[in-house]
Amino acid sequence: MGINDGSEIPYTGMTRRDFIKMASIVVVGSVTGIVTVPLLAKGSLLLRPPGSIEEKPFLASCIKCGQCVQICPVHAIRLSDFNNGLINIGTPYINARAGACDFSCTGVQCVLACPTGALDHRIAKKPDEVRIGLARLYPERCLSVKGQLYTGPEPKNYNPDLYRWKVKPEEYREHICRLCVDKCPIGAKAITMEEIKAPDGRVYLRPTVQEGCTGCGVCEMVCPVQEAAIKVIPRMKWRKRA
Amino acid sequence: MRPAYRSYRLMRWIVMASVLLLFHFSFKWKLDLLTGTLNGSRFSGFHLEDIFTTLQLLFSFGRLETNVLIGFITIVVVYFLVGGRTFCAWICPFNLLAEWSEILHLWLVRKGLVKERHFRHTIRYAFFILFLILAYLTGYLYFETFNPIGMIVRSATYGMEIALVFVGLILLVEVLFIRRAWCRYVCPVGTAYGLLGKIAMLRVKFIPVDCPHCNVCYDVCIAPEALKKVHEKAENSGKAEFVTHMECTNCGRCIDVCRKGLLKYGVRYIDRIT
Repeated sequence: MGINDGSEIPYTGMTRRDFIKMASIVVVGSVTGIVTVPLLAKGSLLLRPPGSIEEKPFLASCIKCGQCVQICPVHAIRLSDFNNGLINIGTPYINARAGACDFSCTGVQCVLACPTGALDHRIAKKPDEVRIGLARLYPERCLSVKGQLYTGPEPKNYNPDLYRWKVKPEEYREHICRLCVDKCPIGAKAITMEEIKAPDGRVYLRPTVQEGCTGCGVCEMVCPVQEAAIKVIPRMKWRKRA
Repeated sequence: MRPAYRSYRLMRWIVMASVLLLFHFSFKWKLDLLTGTLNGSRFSGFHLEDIFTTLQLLFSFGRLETNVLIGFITIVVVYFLVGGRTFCAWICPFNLLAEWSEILHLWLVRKGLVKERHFRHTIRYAFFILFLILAYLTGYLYFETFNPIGMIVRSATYGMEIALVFVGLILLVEVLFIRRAWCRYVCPVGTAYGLLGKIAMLRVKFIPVDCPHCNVCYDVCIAPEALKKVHEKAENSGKAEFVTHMECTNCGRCIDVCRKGLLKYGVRYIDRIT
């Protein structure tokens, strides 16, 4: 029943033609690979899990095992697919709007779960030491800055059942919204309400990001307006306003 | 010849599928039994780290954390005991898909619709070195951006990835052009385990008693050069010999099909060769 008759075993040898064919396939393949992959590799800068080291060494050390994903109690961490760039494939990120890290686990469990040091406990032992990004306010969309009540449809951008606290609709429908300040897991060290006097004499409250902001993204998640008025910019560092 | 219902192939299929299901349900039901992927995982708390992933880390990152090192040593010890590319044939989920496409490929070959092509397996060393150099030059785990094993396990555990298209592409090439192309000529993960397999303990052994040279074992083997070598060696020495070739995946298909039962699993260094 053999395909070959036994007199010769054709597996070890290879004709010259086959060799040339194969060699050219290998060469063409490697060259296209080496050229195209770095081009495709241009990915968007993602919000990494807490304790992530700088982006370049992060990509060098993340083995895409997803152990940080598995340990996260609020399912904030996901693994990236093609859409965030080839270089990001399989790497963990947080889509803050769809589910942010609120440090429910108290001890930055994802950092402890990482075997390779892509998430390093030396730079983030406690939640308030985390610096994965910086929240940025877009005042033109902020209800508090505009002094308005929210009237739109009920926001459904995240799963509220996963979190320890609840947001009540009256917090932004009946009062001037201050959710980003109230729900911030770090508190006053990270974000405060500042009283601002506008040139026209109107006095309003403006959420102001402080040095303690970890970039966890809870403010972005809870912001009730259609497009969040406060967003986390991945890997941005805090500096004092001029 | 082992009947189909107790063939090693069936056992392997069950083991490979179970590993994938274990990854899936361990996360889904929060069992914490097997977390991670085949790149790096934790089996009930014990770190496990793939050999090639660790090598890539060394080249791209330049530093190995203690947990990686522990996992790496565990894997090396385990696969030294059970035979290097045992990973490929018994664990790797891509192998399962590749085996099914191989069946399709061989059917097409028999129908005369597809031509069989064979290349030198040593080409895989070139890929092995190439991917390590690229890990160093690009500064990230280059191979992991398109490692089909990672894609399959991630898809099974964390939900489907579009990246799975790449796995389909490889399988298409294997069905239409080259039998088991990825596993035989490219996959550096297999190369790493194969190199370990050269000295590993559990291996297939061949007893050269009345071998009728029917060649069924060659036909089912994805690395016939490994069998050829051991046949020659055993017939020259007149004793049983172990397959030590790096290409052998310990899949046991040759054991399944040998009508005279001349092929068996054996333990090197312990089994006295008679």
